Amino acid sequence: MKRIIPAFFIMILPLLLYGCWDRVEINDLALVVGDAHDQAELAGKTGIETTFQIANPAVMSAGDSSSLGAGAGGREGAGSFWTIRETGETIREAVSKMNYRIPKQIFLGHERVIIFGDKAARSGLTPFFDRLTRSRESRDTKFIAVSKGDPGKILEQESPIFQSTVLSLYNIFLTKDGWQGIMAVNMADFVYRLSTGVTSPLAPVVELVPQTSLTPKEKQAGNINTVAVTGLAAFDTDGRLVDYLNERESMGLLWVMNRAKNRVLTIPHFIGGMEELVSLNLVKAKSKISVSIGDDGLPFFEIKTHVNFDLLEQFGGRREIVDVGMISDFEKTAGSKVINEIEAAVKKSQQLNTDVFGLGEEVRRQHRREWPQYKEHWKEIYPLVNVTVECETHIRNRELSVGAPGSRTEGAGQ
Amino acid sequence: MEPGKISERQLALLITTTLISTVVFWMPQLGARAVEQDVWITALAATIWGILSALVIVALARRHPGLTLIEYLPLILGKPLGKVFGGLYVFWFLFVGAIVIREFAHFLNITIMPKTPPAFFMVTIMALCFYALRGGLEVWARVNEILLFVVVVAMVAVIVLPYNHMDLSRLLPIADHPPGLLISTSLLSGSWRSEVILAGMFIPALSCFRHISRNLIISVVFIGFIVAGVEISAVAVFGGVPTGQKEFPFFSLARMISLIRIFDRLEVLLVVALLLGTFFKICAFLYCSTLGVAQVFGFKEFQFLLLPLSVLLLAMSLNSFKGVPELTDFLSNVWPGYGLLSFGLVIPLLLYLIALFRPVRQVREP
Repeated sequence: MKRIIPAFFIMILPLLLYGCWDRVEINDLALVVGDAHDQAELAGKTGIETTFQIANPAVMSAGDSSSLGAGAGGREGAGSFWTIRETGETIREAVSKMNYRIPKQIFLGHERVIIFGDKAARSGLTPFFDRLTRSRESRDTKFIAVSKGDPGKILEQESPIFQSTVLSLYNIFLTKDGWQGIMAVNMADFVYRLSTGVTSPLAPVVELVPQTSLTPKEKQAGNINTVAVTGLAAFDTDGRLVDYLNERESMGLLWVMNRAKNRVLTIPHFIGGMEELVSLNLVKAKSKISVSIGDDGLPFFEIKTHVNFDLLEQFGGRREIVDVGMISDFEKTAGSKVINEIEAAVKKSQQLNTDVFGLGEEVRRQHRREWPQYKEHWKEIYPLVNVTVECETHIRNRELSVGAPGSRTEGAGQ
Repeated sequence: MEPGKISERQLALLITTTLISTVVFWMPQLGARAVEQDVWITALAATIWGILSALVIVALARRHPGLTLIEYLPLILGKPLGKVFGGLYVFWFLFVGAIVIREFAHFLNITIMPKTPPAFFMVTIMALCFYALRGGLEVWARVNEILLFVVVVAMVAVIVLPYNHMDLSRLLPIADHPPGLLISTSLLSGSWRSEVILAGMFIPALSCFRHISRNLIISVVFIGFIVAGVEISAVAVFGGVPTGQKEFPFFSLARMISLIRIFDRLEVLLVVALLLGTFFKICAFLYCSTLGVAQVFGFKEFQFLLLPLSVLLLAMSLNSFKGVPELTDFLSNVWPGYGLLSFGLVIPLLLYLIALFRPVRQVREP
């Protein structure tokens, strides 16, 4: 008896391993990789329209690996993803309606990118976020984006590299955050900025753009578009989209927010009255905002940026870059260009009255005794505050060449 | 009455597991709702209350060597009142134990297994605790020594690993809230820390009695750092206000971990930590209430009470709360008064003061 009872238990217990109530088979799941939400007319009321891009895992993983080699991978016939669109009064309602049509359980745990339409963004994103933060499936690491047109169209598009547009956007956001004007914003960031009540949230803008070059196969299929990140969208403190920032303003913003990681800055340079262009490559950028309270009682901001560049390209190449004086000329021009970009961003944000830099937060951190008197009126104060920008630029290396190839002419050998 | 003997280190580690296991899941939300980004200060301030509780309970035990809290209550307050307070303490152990089981079930329900009935979790963990306690104090105190390591490693990993999402400037300005609010929130955090008075039930089972106050203080301080670490990490990742808007900031923090696309989806680590930690916490409360009942009624043995009290604890937890909103309402409004401000610190402190002014009675031979 003493042996039989434990043996019996050992035989019974493995039956429990399959998880009882919450057992889910992966084959039964429809893995949503991206969703798009927009406002829609719904029987005279405003409702929402949700589009899901759902992965076809077997094909998608094959397509992913073959993208390293050549050709579109996967089985012929089956696409790497499929999409579904539905309307409803809440997001959950729209999702529940999908169940009538699809044979799988919708699983939101693999969402990578969420795209909001312009209409939804202008009416305020706050209600849309509740589903995303409350759900036990979805994570705060997923990326947010705004589309100027119909966001569902972006999910329905096929991208030439990863096939799934969501996966290509996800890769852009993951690997190219801080490159040029790209700023990846994940949900935790967005929600944090919303929660401050002062700082304006931002989200990158994604658009369908024509491909610049087509393979014969794509021409045949009429697949001429691809997805691209173009600039940033600035929201007000209630999560309503105010306006879009263009590339230059986005770049200015990235300098101040210490998010710039990779950047090619092209500056003109004059030699003997002739213009030639020099491209610099960002190595490291660091900005500091210091706040002081001016005599008029308004806060006063000094943005100090320190940027290190390497020389990347000298287009024209009439002169070897051996002259230290020339390099300090480059530094000056580059510095003023950075300052211009930052000032453009500051000007735009003050025009829109969106504190995208978090200047109000900066006042709160540096002058917390004075902050309560500004807090209530920050919206009126922000367009009036003075911001000065300084930039210190250093050019360190010139990569592997001293000068552009060609015969040595004037100024050589200095 | 307890036949087993444990070492001072085992007791300190047991108290550490008991104190740490539920506070890290509930306190960040409740604290951040009150004081936003300053929540970690309250965790450190609560250490003071915890140290006070530890010192009081050790001082009481030093005055009454070989006796548990329930046994020396009648010596201090006189027999009738002492028995009444002993009964209240037993009820406190049972009630807090019931809440812990409920918290555990709700946590699993919300985070990973929504469809499984909470009763299932409660019954299985209770069965496990009953089984462990039947093995004797020595056994589960030793198991705890091994498994606490897993709990702490999991927690520290979840605190540190989301570093790529952290922005420490979200912690600024430091101490922006009025001191009164910080202190009142630290009372809430300190209520969990004051569970250190459970040591009063274990001290007679110690094999030696030299560094016990030092050990308990170290474990209270250590828990202060872990809780503050969780809160600093959560505020740096989510910001002060969003931390208070999440049901389990610590769990959400684990979900943020994504390093080089390999370290991903580590939240189950945290569920494992909770499972192990709560198991020992329930064991500790069940043990204290069983021992307490036996001593209040003057039984010579306490093992035979294990089964009825396990069932009672289970019944109490099944009937305690309907859902998490009720539970968090209880935790934020009632728990400081029920924990730190009465059974956790104030009553033991009063007992100690009374004991100071009363002559030490003749110790009853066991």
